[in-house]
Amino acid sequence: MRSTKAERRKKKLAERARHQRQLETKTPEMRKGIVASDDGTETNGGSTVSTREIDSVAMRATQLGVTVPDGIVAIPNDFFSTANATELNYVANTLTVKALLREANIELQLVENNSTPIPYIHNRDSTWVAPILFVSASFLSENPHLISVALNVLSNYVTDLFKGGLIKPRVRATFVIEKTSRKTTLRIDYDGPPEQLHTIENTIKRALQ
Amino acid sequence: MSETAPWDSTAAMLRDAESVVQQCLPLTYASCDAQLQSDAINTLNDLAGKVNVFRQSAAEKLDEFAANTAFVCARYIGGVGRFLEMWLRFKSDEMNTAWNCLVDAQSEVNCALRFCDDGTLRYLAQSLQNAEGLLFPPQQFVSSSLSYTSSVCTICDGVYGECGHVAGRLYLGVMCSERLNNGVQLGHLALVDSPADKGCRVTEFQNGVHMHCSLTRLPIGKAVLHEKGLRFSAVALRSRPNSSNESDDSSVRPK
Repeated sequence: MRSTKAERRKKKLAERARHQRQLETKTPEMRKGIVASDDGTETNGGSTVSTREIDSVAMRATQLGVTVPDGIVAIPNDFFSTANATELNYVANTLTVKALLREANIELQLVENNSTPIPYIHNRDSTWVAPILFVSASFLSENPHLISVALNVLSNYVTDLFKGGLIKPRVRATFVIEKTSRKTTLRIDYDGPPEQLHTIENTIKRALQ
Repeated sequence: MSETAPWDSTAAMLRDAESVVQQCLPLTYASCDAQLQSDAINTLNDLAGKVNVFRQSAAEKLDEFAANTAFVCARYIGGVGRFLEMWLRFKSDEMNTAWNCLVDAQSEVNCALRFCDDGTLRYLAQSLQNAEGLLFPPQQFVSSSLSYTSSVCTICDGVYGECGHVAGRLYLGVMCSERLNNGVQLGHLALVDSPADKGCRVTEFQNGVHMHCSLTRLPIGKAVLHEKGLRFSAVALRSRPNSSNESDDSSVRPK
């Protein structure tokens, strides 16, 4: 049996209202195709950004017997997991990032082991891995644009480095940020194409709120 | 004192280089005569030598544009030359060398594409990609982990990270990279899908009691049997021939 014109119109209006309700419940990130899961991981196209709370950098430094300078600091790999400072190492791109940030008038400091120098490790695969960058709460409040500038510098460099290639490049970057309000430390990991690296700025801003 | 520059302008160099390369490109196919391909390689080598002299001369005059253009031009010439050499080696049944020529050609062309988005270069890159898939079986690549405590800049020999140069950028026709100082230690080897250098790969693998070539699949000798696993041989690190070093995709280079 065919529905009347009034019934069809009523059905159409109900569908439109349902669609509107769905749109209103979606966050701006969801509308852009960003999918968030309960474990703090967001996927957006080819990239993954994960956020989690970790031990404080100062506490880990005391346990390992290393010195963490003020400012924006490159943290060695395994800093949050190893029990022995001799097992620490930096990713090979640490010095390149240091040179790049210096061009933007940002002085990158390195964690120092008081007894032996921390070696650099170069894994000869095609993923470009940035060092873990730590910014203290006090330094970040004095330099609110620091993250934005650093991300732009890294993103531009890596995009240029892989320009023209047939294989899609991959970048891994990690930021460790202190949150003043709850005195917690957050670790934000990015894994994805270089051109989307700047998108973690929003994740960092949201995490700091 | 360097030799006299073979061209008086960058445009003249590009015109001559383009003319020679366009004559060689039609020979980058399997059916083309080996002697013609060999002659083309010699012509390209001569041209690459002249472009290098021009690059050095431009660098002495602090002409950044000319020197950098010559660098990119040399990568283009090198890419075509290595592609031709790949065919020669392939037809001579020298598969390992043919593979290395292909990988070097890809490296040269990809490096040129970074600085010059050109249709011919893109076509060449795609042809090389197609050749890899069609001529050789899929390879298992290897990534080595190198540990070091200090490195120097290849532009100024200063301490890398302090000198102001950045790996992967061009400075007066020379690509900056980080040269590792003595005391480099090999940490581990990993089997990967996307290595920094496709020349680093498993070259021989054990199948039964024999070792087999990963390119020809032919048995190449008896395997030394091991109770707990299978043996394989791999190239973990390799140096690039001639000018290819300058276009190494990796920004870190062992001494």
